[in-house]
Amino acid sequence: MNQISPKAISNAARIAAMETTHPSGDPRFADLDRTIESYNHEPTALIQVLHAAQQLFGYLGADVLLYIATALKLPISHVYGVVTFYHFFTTVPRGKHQIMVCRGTGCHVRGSDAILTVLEKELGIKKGETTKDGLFSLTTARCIGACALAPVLSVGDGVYGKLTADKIPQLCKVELKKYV
Amino acid sequence: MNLEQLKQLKEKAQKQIALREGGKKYRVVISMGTSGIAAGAREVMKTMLDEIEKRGFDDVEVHVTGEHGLEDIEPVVQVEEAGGEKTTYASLDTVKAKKIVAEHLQKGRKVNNLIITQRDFAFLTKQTKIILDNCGVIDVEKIEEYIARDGYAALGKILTGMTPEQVIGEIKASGLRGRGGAGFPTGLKWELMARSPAKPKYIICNADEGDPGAFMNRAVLEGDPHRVIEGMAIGGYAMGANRGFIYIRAEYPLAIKRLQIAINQAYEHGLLGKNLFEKGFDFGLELRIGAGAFVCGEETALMRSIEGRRGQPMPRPPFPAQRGLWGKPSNINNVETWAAVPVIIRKGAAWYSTFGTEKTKGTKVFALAGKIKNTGLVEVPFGTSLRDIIYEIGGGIPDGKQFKAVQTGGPSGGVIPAQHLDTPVEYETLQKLGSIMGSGGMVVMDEDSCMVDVARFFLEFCCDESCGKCPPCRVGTKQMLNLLEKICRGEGELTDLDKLEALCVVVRDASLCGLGQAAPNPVLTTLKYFRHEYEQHIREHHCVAGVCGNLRLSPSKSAATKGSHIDAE
Repeated sequence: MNQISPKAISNAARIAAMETTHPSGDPRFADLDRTIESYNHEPTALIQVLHAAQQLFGYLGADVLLYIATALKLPISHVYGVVTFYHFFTTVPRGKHQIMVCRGTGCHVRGSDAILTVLEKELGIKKGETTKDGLFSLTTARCIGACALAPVLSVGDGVYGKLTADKIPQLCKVELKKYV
Repeated sequence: MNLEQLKQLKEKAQKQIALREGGKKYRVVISMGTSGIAAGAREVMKTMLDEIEKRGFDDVEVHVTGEHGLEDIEPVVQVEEAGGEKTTYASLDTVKAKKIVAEHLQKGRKVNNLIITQRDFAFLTKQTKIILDNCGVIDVEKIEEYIARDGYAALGKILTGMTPEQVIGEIKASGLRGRGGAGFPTGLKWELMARSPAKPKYIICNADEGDPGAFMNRAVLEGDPHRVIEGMAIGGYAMGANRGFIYIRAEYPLAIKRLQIAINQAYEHGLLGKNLFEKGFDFGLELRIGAGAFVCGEETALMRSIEGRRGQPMPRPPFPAQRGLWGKPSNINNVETWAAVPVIIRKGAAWYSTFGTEKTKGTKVFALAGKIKNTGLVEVPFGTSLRDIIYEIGGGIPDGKQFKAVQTGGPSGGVIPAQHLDTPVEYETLQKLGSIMGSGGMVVMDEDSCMVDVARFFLEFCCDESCGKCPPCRVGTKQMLNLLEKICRGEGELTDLDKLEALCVVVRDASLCGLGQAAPNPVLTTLKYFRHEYEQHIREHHCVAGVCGNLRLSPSKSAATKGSHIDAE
């Protein structure tokens, strides 16, 4: 992706044939290797590589971070510093689905605080936590860009808008079942 | 791709759109921006495609476009007939979509009760669409449609007939000012970069759009990505850079996807890459994705993030034009600034400067949200009054409520009360009132919004997003937040207001970057215009808007129960 011409067919074939260098043999590391190769092992591509890793593994555990640090020839302290700086990255496993309550200004003005409070009660967890069955994590976002439907929450790709506190129990009973 | 080939491609594309490839009778254009998808546009599209296939139509083509701005009426579908007539359907769902296929596409009968109302249509027609003129119109995944509307003609024009100095001169003459918030004259910024002797140089687009409630950049990136690509290539030529980066926030997956498609298409057509327009100019572009840090919208922090580091700002000077990415000269501009460049080059600086005011030329896209009837994007010339934006175009406050204030500029901005509604909007006028233009977010508040809570909300955000490098911001915003939370809980004292004001001055004057420097703005403006609300919270333990938990009772009841804890409900 760094070259002026992105079409390097022989290079792509070589990458695809590569075996993973991770002792566990976990095939996800092969996918990660491909991403790292596509950036030519450049240390500056750290954030892009971390995105790919989180997508593959669901979270950034110590072994994945060590693997990335080695591949990009970076100190693990540097990698850890970057991971803990950015809100997007998590070092602990999250639930199968993220329930994201939007807390942008437009949603706040239309009552998103109340939505969050009722949701916490219904799910039995606080913001940032995961339900005991590992299905849902409750997080907040600063603005997902659907201000006309404020207040809004999203579950995975699905967006629920024009919410009021009294709609939440029903939403939990009915809609969340679809994600199980 | 040379100029002649571009002209031919344009003519071919225009013919195809007019005749509809293979003589198709209908062209269906579905608005699929993030807000449209949230409102159900995907299901509408799927239903229409299914119905069209079921009925065996072969004279209908379906296209996907970005949002056109009025989010309240999405999903929106436009049906264009062979003769050029356009019908816009709004507020659709799968049932209504089926009806449109059955009635309009099959029988040629428009479904009148689903057509956009005059009132809603006025929202779009009262605007001056320069930046947004392709959004909601072109098929966003087809470069040919961008080219049909003069896309890449500006790039061709400068490479075949203008020197870099002439390009910079044109941008200077247009009066374009940075649309990211600071309003620095773009032409001057480019000139400073061009003069920098070090190599290599880099062009950067700030597509981080971190302000909550701002979605102007998202609409352009999802609806007209080639515009930004072309603008950056023009900038590269003018400033002597051969490599560009678009830094885009991770929270915009659709924009990332469409930008990557657009970049790939541009490379395929020889509009990015080596030897553009056969004039020996190389320009490469790539995406860099953010990871959820508001501070990375600040230019020095953004560059650290592209370098794969923690996004912590650096002191300026040196400015990016001297030492930026990897210590080399870099130019960062906002999405909207880059989007203005091609049209300025094509139509000329003189044309562009007919819009706007003496000090601020051109148009600005605002994202109108909050307690307002028409939520969406508003593009107007500078000098338009707040009243016109909020009432004429925005439709005013719903549910018969009273306007209280409009918050501009996101967390770095301030609130503006009713007495200043006739202020013409431009950088300096908003600054005089204590707020800022910012990137263009405008959140309207009514009588049910508590101004102390608004200040607390923004401080909480700044505190969360502070990178932690400098104590005035790291410690100062936290102390300010503590005070505001104390006041919202009904435990405030009048001396807290003095402490708050003193802290505001320190944080504003001593912080390293714009995040800290502007964090006090919501507090300062709410104190300036709504001090009585603060005092009511403190003296009478009363929140007049009924927002702050313990203080929702009437003044007499609040005072009587002072000291006891009441569950927020």
